[in-house]
Amino acid sequence: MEERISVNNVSKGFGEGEARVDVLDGVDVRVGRHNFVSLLGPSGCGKSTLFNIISGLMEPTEGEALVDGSDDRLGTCGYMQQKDLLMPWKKIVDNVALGLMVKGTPRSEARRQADDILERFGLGGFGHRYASEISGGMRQRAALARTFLAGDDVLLLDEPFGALDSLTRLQMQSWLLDVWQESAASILFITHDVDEAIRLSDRVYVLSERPARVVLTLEIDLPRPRPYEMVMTREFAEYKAQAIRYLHPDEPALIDEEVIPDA
Amino acid sequence: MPEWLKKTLPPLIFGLALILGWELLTIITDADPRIYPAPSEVLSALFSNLSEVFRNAKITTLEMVLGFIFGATIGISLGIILAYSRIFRSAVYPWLIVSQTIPIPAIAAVLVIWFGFSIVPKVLVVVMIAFFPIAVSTVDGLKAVDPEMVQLMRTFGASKARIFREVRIPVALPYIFTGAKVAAAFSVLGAVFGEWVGAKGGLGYLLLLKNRAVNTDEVFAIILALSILGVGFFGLIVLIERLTIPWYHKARQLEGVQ
Repeated sequence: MEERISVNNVSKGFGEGEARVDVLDGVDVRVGRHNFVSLLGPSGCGKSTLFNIISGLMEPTEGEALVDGSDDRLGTCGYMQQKDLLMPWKKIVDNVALGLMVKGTPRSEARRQADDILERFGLGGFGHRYASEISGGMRQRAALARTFLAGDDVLLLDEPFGALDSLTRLQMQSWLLDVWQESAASILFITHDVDEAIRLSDRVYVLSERPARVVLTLEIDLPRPRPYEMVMTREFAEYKAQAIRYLHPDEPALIDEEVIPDA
Repeated sequence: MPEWLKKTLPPLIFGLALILGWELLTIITDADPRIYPAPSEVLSALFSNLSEVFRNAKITTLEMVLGFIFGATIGISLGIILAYSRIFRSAVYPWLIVSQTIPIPAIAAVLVIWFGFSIVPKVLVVVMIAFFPIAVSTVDGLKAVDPEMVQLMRTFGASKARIFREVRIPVALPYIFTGAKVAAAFSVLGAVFGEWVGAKGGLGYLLLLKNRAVNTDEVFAIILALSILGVGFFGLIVLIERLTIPWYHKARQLEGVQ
């Protein structure tokens, strides 16, 4: 099976009758092996609902969501929500090892792997601290480490850098790209930052306002590695122009029409 | 000045000032020492009756500790059932509150009719006082969990039992300890009430005896012993709390709460 995540024509509504709210409207999303794919859309458009469905926390009203071709999804993805959700009663190493331990890895082996990934994530020596004793950026990296270990190489990252200041955010993007390159992970990444989506991804799905539909699929054909300065190249700007055009359809267009392909 | 001294010095000075003021007042007013004993006389009464006080304190301590352990067990179990069963909660919770409006000495008197002068009525009174704050705080604690943390555990494929053990219990523990501290402070009260309606030993029993004999200095000496017992028991629970949930105190210190 080549696709690690495939979301086929998924719709989701909450409530019944008059009170029904449609959140997702026939969404198709695909993430291949070792791909980095982003969902770019306005806040509150239903991106997190899609993640809840892919991770198996929810079932779609219509359509199907498959991870490695299977409908039985709980326990298959590493899902990182916006909050770091580190448990204050566990030391960092035990937080990071938690997913593995729940899945049956013996404690000592799970801890060994957790120490290993903490070292790689620049958190070596912090494993025995409590979450309250480390900084926000470190907490985020620890949460990401936990997600990598728990995720069996399928990772759902819901605006992991949303709460960070823009400088830290850029550093974290570079860092995430490095970590991803060295791993076998397939990543689906939620953001509402256009630059972030294009810089990180192989493919960007641009979503509409609620109920969310995919209004544009951008295959990002930029070389890797991608240093931050790449955002100033012409190719990057063209991708950005297309994304913005579909994100803000009511804004007057400044860019030459021929840049934008048919939807 | 070291941190611990900064914390302990103000209450120490205040306490000593109060005692000194009281001592001076008895001297200035030339009060009858049998009715209004000075702190120095209370202390000497305590030391001259030390073995008697100690013997009775052991009885009261046993009643308190047994009552607290049973009360905490019942309180935590009840709290778990209340938090998880909606039907049980709606049927039982109002009656639980009603039960707290019943004057404890009234019940204690009946318990003596049923169980005689044995240790049982005293322990039961302590149980009745101790279980309630623990049950209420257990319910609050079990409901305080962040739903997203439960979701996180579910994405790992965790069972409900696992989520209960690894998330709900740790979240609830600080709440449960708050209830336990209240219960510990009140369990002295329970033991004394239990002894007042019928006993052959214990500090409450001894207190009644000395009161009837109008040995006021000895009455105060026993009150002093009772409060040492209460503070000691409270302190023990605080110590257990610190050992059980060290992460909670670290986080609070960093936030500057303490």
